[in-house]
Amino acid sequence: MTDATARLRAGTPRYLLVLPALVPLALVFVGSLVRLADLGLRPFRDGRIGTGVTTDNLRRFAEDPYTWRVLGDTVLLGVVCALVTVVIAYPMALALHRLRSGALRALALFLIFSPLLTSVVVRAYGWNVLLGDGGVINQTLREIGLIDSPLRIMYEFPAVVIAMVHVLLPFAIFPLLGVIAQVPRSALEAAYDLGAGRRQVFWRVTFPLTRHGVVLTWQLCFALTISAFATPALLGGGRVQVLSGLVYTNVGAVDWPMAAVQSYALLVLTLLLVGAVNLAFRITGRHSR
Amino acid sequence: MGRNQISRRRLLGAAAAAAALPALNACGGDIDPQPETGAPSGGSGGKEKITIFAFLGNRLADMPKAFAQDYMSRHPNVQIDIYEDSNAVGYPKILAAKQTTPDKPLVNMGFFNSQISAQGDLDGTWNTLDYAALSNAASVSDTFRRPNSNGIGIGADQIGIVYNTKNITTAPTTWADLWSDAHKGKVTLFDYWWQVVFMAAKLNGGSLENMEPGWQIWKAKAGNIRTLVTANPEWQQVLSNGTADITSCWNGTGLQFKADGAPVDYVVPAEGAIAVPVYLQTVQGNTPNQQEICVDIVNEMLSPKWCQMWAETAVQTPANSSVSLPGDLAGLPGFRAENVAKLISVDWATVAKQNTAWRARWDSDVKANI
Repeated sequence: MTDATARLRAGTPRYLLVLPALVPLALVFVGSLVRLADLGLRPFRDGRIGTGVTTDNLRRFAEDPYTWRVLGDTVLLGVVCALVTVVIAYPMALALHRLRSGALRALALFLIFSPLLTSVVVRAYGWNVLLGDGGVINQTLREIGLIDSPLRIMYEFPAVVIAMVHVLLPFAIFPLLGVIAQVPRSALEAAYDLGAGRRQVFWRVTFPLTRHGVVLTWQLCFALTISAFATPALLGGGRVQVLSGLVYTNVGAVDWPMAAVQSYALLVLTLLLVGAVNLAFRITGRHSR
Repeated sequence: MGRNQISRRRLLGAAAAAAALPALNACGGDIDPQPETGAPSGGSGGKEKITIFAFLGNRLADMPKAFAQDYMSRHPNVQIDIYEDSNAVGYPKILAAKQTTPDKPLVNMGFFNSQISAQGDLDGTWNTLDYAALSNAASVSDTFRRPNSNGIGIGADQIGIVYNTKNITTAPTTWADLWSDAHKGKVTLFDYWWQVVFMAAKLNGGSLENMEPGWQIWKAKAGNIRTLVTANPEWQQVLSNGTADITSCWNGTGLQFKADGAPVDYVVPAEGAIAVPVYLQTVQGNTPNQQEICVDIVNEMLSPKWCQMWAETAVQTPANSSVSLPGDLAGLPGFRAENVAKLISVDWATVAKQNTAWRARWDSDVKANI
């Protein structure tokens, strides 16, 4: 038995451990993709899904300016939400990492996790109470005389961003916390020993060693945002449209072929943008070495 | 070691085969239906199980639930389950079940509005009813019968205007109030509410077949819309808290909002409200036994007792002409003789056929400009 074969055999059981998760995923994901492809190529005329194969739905998708606009808005929302989330989450993760008190740390983790303990609908109505025309923020601003008429926050882009960032924070903080914890203490101590200040240590040691985690977290937040449906639907008031909303609308209208094409577009969009960011990260990483 | 190798291969082979199954299935088109055994489908102690689709929200499921209890007490061999959902959300699921397991429909029968009934005609979702075999259908006027006999009406709702009585002191009088500058930024509509486009078209020389004047008006006046809602509680909330002051809404739904304490009221515009009959439909894929029970249920629901309860709880005009409306309903604007005479009928088959094109226009001309 060669060393290579022995190494392979020794490692095999680890790969087998992945199978219980991989098989159902493959069943659902690949099966759905094939089914969607089949639907996307079916004709749709006079409100009926026909039989046969056509590329009409691809043409309908490509020629509809509204869909492209929604696609653009979806990307914009994804980029902004992911960026704001990472910017807020990074210092929070850093602070959590440095917390010495176990009780305080547990409390902070609970508070960060709490958005995930309530339903998205309840959260959305909660934001309505805060951000609505007659909500807490507008009432307060009115009472202290800063505004005469209510600020239009609700059912606008900022309301969706605020609510999305709130939901995304736990998804960003926990991976970042893991990445920050992996920064070797010896590297930080060496930097301090060599006379670096706190700011220098952060920008020249901590951040470079965690930036891969930052990019991955941004990608995760981006993917979660562009596939989000309930929050943009409830807080966007029809003004903030995302591609998943169009998919939902077309499912309801029994235009399943178009819904299938739009679902594929969402998938391709995610893969393309995540791939592009990965590529850019690798290129910049190579240049900075 | 050798044993392990074989075992792993087998395991991987089985996993690959399992993963390939749905893909192959999808390639082949629809999933094969379950084999017909001829046995009762319910499996609940030999009882025949019937699932009735009922509207979700307010008191719309009160009558179906009360009926189910009564019917089961008289027919111990039948089990009735109530499936509550909105037509818009529930119908695609019914259609999905029809496509994947045609002999096992998601629901066996139910309450469906005019638009979904017409959509179901296109999709071949409904069974045809023999009106002559329904003894209670004799008291149901032609207005509630369908030309193709797919289902039969049990009542009729109507779509008019609902407004916030605190913020609007003079009640709206016309459909044109919705696109008037007086309500700029204060209108809320359910997402894809083609009815207001139809009325704008109708008042400006158009019709259901020529919606262009309506699209032009709403494209220019999309700024009147403060928000589009997607669920009844949201609708009620934005109207109650003053985010929006005026909407086009169902009579029954608007009055339920009012009954819940919302400062709103329903008005019939001078041009008339849009009539929206609600039909009882039986679904294709039922076994002969299930269909027989469904037809019996439809017939019983059309009886004065249940038709009256439907009218009272759903706040609708009853289909059975022998039902007398209680005084508190008869006095409401939507039920007054002069307003009933003005009800606007719509060709729902045209609506179903145009649905996709209109939705696209709604998105590009209205939604994109709010």
